[in-house]
Amino acid sequence: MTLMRLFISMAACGLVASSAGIQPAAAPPVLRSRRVVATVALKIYNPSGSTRLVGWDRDSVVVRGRVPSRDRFFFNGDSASMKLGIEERSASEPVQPVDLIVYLPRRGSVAIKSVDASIAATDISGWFYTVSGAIVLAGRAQNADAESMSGDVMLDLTTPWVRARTGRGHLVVRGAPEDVDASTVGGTLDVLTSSIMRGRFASVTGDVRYMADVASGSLFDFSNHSGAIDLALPRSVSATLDLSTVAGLIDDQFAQVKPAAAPGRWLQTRLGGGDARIVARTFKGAIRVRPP
Amino acid sequence: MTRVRHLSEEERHGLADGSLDGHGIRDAEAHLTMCAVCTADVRRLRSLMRLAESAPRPATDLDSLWPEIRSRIESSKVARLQPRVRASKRRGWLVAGLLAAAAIIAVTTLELRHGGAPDGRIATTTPTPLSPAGDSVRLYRDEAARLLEEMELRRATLPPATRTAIDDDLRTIDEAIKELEVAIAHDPSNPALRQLLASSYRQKVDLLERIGNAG
Repeated sequence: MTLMRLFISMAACGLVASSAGIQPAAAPPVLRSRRVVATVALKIYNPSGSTRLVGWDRDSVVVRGRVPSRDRFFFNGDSASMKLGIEERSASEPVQPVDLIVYLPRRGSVAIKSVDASIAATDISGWFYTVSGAIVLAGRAQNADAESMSGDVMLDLTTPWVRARTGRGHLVVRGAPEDVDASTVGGTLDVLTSSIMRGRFASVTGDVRYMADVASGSLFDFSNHSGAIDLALPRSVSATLDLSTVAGLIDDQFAQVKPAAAPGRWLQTRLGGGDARIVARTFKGAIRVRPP
Repeated sequence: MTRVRHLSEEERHGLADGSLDGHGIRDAEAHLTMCAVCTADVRRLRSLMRLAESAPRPATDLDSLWPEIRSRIESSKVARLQPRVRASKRRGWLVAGLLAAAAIIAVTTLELRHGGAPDGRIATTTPTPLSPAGDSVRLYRDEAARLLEEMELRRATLPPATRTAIDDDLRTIDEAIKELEVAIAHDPSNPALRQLLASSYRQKVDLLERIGNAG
């Protein structure tokens, strides 16, 4: 499932913007439930299909979904830590997609893993991993670590700390995170939020695009090998920029002087009061600094 | 009573290894003319750096010693104590080391360049004889080599499409690393190249860890 389809599907189910706990209109049947502590830790495994995680204000874990008769759903543990999901089958057996919805306390955390299943979570903290599925995280979280081998990752989180990785997928950072560490290998990385105080963004061949204002006192580090770094900053921006490339070009549309014709240069510019600090370096990718 | 403000750790290191530039170096050198404490410390750092540079290199290629060391370790084992736990502990220390090295690079990079330059100033890259990025490259390279061994075991269990994606990503990163190593061979004192190399190795370690998580 592509990132956009997953996001639209979440929005249709009211998971993106709604408060957690309000279940979708045609909710699948409850598979299991149990009372847990507010800080419950869940380990979830669903290889194929989709898993939606919803943080709510109740002291219980509820799992909804339909599991094919050939598959076995497991749900065990105690009130503080639990494991649930679909049991792994032998490699020769075809995997059936299963759609699960898991409700858990907002202060709880998850470690969820899938093969090609997409993962969508609202108001959930923890570790989210999929080999080729998409990951969409929204709402508030204490922290989040999202990893996909090749799927898209979209973060629309309010959180003090988030880390995200993908290979060729599209990675989008929005919402209101404070400390962000995000990278791709070949996928495009888009940063669309001005809430970041510490940001590290890297790619090898994918373009890294930052399109937002920068907070006063914030610190950014952009790194790319052959992809571009594109910084679209408002004219009122207050930042010190330290841009360097070995064999690429620097195009600073704010600066009076245009040095970029010769490769292997660096350019230091102060815009406004220079309150934020931005370091960007590439090997042979272009660095552009421009108004939006 | 006025308290004397001494040079920061970064400024003293920057003076000692010549990486401090612009206004920074002028201010720092002016401070040295009236501060015996900082002068002594900078002198001590310079002497340490000279000592480190003149230290003899190992006569043997360290990589070639590893197989023998490993077989000795293996033969001395009497019992295997939860290998996964031990592996994860070791990984924890390595990750902590890598994070610390990355933090040093980030802080050093940001602080060394923080010199209050005027608008639109242009300069060529300043050579930095000693760069912590070199240490983190070594750490990342070692970790990547270890993870590559583990990946070979897990790779077979992954779906063909995922294997193809992994191979493509690894090839992309390895090509970047190769280009950077060639560039460093031509311009060994360029700190930006070393930082980019460290970043590429970091990407490789991240990718190999993701592959490890797939198993």
